[in-house]
Amino acid sequence: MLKVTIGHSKDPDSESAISEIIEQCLEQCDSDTPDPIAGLLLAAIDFDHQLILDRIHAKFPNIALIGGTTDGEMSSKLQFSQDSLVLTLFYSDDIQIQAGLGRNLSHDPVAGAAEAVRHGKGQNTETPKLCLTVAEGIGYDSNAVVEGLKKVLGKRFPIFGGVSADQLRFQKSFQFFGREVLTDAVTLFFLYGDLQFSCGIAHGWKPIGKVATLTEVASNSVVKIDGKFATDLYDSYLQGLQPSPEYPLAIFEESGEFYLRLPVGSNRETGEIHFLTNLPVETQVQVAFATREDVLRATQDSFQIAFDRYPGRHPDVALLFSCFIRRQLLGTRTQEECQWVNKLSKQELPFVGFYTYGEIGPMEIGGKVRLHQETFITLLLGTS
Amino acid sequence: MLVMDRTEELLRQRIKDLEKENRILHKQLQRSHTDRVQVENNYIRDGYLLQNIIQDLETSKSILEQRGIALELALHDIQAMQSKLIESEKMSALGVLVAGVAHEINNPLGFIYGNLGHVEQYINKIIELVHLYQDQYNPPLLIIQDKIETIELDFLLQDIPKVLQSMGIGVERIIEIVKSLSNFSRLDEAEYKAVDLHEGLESTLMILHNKLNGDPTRPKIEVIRDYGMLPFVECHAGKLNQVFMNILGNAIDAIVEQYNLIPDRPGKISIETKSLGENVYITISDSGGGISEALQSKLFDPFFTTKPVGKGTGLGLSISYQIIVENHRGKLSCHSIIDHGTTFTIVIPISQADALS
Ligand SMILES: Nc1ncnc2c1ncn2[C@@H]1O[C@H](COP(=O)(O)OP(=O)(O)OP(=O)(O)O)[C@@H](O)[C@H]1O
Ligand SMILES: [Mg+2]
Repeated sequence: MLKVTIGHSKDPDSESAISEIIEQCLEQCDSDTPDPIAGLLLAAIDFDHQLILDRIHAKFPNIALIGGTTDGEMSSKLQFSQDSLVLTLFYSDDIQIQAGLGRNLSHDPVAGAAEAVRHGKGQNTETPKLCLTVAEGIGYDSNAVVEGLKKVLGKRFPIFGGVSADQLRFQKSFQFFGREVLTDAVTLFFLYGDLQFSCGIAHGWKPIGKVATLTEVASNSVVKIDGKFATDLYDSYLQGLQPSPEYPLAIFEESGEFYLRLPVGSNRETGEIHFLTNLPVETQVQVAFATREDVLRATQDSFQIAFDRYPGRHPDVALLFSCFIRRQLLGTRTQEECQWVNKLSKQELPFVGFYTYGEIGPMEIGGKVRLHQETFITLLLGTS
Repeated sequence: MLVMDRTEELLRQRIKDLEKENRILHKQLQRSHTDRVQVENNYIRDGYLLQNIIQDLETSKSILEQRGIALELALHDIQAMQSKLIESEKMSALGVLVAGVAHEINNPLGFIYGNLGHVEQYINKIIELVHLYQDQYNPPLLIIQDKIETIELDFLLQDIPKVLQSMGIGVERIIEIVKSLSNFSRLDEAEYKAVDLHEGLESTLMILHNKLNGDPTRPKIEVIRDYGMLPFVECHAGKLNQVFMNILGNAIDAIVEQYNLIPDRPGKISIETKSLGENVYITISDSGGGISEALQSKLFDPFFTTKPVGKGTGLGLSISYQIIVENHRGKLSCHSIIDHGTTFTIVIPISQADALS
């Protein structure tokens, strides 16, 4: 058995928001609901996070809690909203959840990831079924923390999650662990027990225009493309406007498949374009483009694929990780992502998710995990 | 009192709810402004992107179109080249055949030519004998008299020498043709050899005899020879003959074309040869329509032709140029006056060794 309760509030006042949320969660329990074992907290950047964690701890002192700041939240309770707070509590008597924390990612992301894994596994010698993570998304090569997790857990171990965000300020985001508000950290859950799960991932962007080669890269930025200023590539399409994340670079792999990396700024003087991760030099790239329709079709694909692949009878919860650029591009239509999830699950499935600076997951269970951008990842969890 | 408390509590709750509502609305207002700015910027970017992508597509489309045209031209050139190659393949196969046939004909022709003299002698002797009989047995027996009349012996005796003479002329002509044929193909001479160029010119003219001769639709083309004293020239005779063939063929084409336009103009080809210093000069002029100055510069380009598809491939002069300039270290030039005619001048060194040094 796996049960979740979700509390979701739009109240910008931290005190009222968290009390409203706790109330909502309690309302969803009945007399034979066991105590919650874990909590996932997703919060907009402007809340008083410490106060919120304290209140949660006071109410549920024994839960494992992780989470982070986001660029938009979604749940089956309030659908899509910005500047809101969502707490998801997990209840189960046959599934165990253990939490882990690693720090100082900007110093050494790989070591930080290893520390989180060690911490999360603790004395447990069993192999976990799944890893759910929320890590820092700014100020270092966020791809490296995913590679770090893969290094200890194995390339094909199922890792899902997203990196924390700060509403496009690109200054500082926060992670939550127990009663601690952190920055520059990675938090994770290991899930043990008789768990069923499936995933789907899609984005909707199409590479267009000229194929170019990354000829010089620095940490989290591209200096030269085809031997010229990196910004030249975008200038030839955007007529001198800042490269913006709606027009990511499609990075081609040897197989001909591509993944996306979004520019978050540029330097006119040096011609560099800044990203949230390192990019591989000497790879072929193309500017990619998507319409709102493409983006929403990908949302449906992502959910439908996960739903079709679910190995059990019925999932108990859907966790959603959507790129912040999808929200930005969709604007007033962002809510349609949630509406599609409702529709395709026939309104029966509780779901929770957030808009992130980077989605983590494999193309399919057992596939290679990577940090994605511009995607919508659906993770379905259940016990039957 | 209790009622008052209740109302107060309700009011307080209402105020709390309104405050919350107010907080949320305030936050949303802040949000919607930044979001709107973002959306507007995006809108502008999308416009630019689309515009530039369309431009990209258009350029690549026109590049593709140009490439398509270039490919079509190349294909056409290749096809022409192919047919020319097939033609020259056929020509050389024909050359082998002709040379073989010529060689085979040569022997029996020798018997005939060699024996023709004997036949003449024998017949003359038999005629003498017949005359002697006629003198000694006069009048002859009736049966012989009848035979003399039915075979028209008088006419027969008169005609036989003429028949024999024309047979001799015919055989001599055959010998000449066979010699030209084997001379033209010159299979025996793959390497540079000292030859008499007049022989090559003559055998080429012999092969073109039919075209020069005219037909019911056009008069004969006059060939004027102004041959000087030429030393033997060290050359690849077969290849040079190919050059003569091309230039003379073009001259005939030009004259025929001109005749079709202005029928009373006499068709004339002049061939002049001379030796000067270390070189020999062969000048071939025609009274055709000439070549405009604009076209003269393209004359030696491969595939340049003004002739209808299927007739000319435009390779004749470019191959000739290659043979004269590259294979013989000579010169090939053209001088033409529109409406008056064209002159091609071939200059080749007498000795290839001299040309090398
Ligand atoms: N004597 C000439 N008088 C006028 N035009 C000539 C003469 N000789 C060559 N030309 C022009 O030069 C062109 C090229 O001649 P060339 O011999 O290279 O090719 P062609 O005769 O057209 O074709 P091909 O010889 O391959 O059958 C001719 O098409 C013709 O227009
Ligand atoms: Mg020709």
